[in-house]
Amino acid sequence: MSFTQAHHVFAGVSETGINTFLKAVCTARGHYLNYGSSAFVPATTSGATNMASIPFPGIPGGIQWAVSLSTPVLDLFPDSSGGTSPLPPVANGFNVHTKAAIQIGCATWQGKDRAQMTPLKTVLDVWALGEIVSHYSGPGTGFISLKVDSVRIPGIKPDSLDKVLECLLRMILAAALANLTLPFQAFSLGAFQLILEQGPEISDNQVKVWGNIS
Amino acid sequence: MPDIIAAADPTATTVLLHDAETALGTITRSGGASLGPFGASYSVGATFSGGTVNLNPPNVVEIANCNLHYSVSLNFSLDLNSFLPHFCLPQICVFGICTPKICINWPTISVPFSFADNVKFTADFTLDAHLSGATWLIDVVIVGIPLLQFGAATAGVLAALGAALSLAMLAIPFIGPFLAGAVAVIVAAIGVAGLTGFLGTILTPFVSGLRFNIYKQPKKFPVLPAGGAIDPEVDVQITAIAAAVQATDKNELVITGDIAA
Repeated sequence: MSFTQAHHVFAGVSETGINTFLKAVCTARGHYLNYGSSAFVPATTSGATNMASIPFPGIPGGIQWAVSLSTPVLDLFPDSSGGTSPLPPVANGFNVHTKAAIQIGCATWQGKDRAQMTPLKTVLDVWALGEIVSHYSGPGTGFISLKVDSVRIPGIKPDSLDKVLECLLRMILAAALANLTLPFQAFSLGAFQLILEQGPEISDNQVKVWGNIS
Repeated sequence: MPDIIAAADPTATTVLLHDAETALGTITRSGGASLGPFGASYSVGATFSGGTVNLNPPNVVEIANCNLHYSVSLNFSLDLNSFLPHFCLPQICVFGICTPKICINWPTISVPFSFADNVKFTADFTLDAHLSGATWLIDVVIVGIPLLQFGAATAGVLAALGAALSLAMLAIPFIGPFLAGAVAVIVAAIGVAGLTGFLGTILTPFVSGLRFNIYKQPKKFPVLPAGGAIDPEVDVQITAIAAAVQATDKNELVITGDIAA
């Protein structure tokens, strides 16, 4: 079977290629993955996003916190883990694996004195299932983004804590991955300006698009 | 599996070729060449357009009916001494007074002449993917030297050259009207064969070694443009590019690439 099939051009990015693109984006723009209040992230930079602390009555300065995701690693359908993945990708989808580091400033204080803060950190293995979302507006334009459908954090007990953490990290992961975009132009490394006719589709460990060229 | 696979069928590859022809622009050359038994200096500009791509495994890109548009400005020098008879008026002495010996030295006339035309050619090209400095290129490079077949318009060019010669000769004082009759002899001496030989000589360098660039990207490939103070440009390094013609249920130009963050 030809690559282009009934179309004039084809472009496909392997999961290795997708992960290389993601690594490049996340390295240059770490603020998509790293968030924290001022005790952890004093100012917004390309590496991290400064957020407000969580206000809580009686805690001086509120609760200091930080969440950092490691560069997500995608496995495009079919499963490339050899059966070891806790959440194998489904047809036309991917799974994504990241490590979520959650930190809080464990504070102690007396009266209205400035709080003493000790950072506490836990790192969770997070797996998610997702799909590619296409944003195409005309010849030579457009990009894909990543949509998270469900999250799994193996080994969390009790179940109620598991559900809370999974929901929390699903929201965080979905918001963070929505920022990670890849232009269609990169699919062919600039070989042509794509007029999208079919795709993006995930199969054979690739994201595939078909169309014509302008 | 390569990180990137991009494939184009013959229709899309033809579009890539036409873009490459446009990007090549006008190429110019100048020099001197024989025009029949005469000499001519020339400058010529050439562009390429059109043509249809046929992809033939293993790695042949045939371009059929590619147009070579050319525009020639030539300076045709004609030494009238080379074909008009030489004669001298002998010295004559009368009563001890002698006239000098007078020899007629015919001038060399220079005839500027311009014309433009188009010639089609069909040739096989091969794929050449390579890194030049910090830029990845894929060129299609002609194999051999194609035959340039000049059409019936060549005779018209010859007639126009004759007309230009006539005008130039008429301007020569005293003998111009008589020399104009020699134009037919000169044109016949050049002939269609002489003109096509001249065109072949000056146009062959344009197709010899001809290469069209169908892919050009920096090794440091920009994935995302800078989007503000905290969103710097995102790049990947293209570590390998290859190109081949592959045949399955249809023939395709397949470009593969590997990248590194």
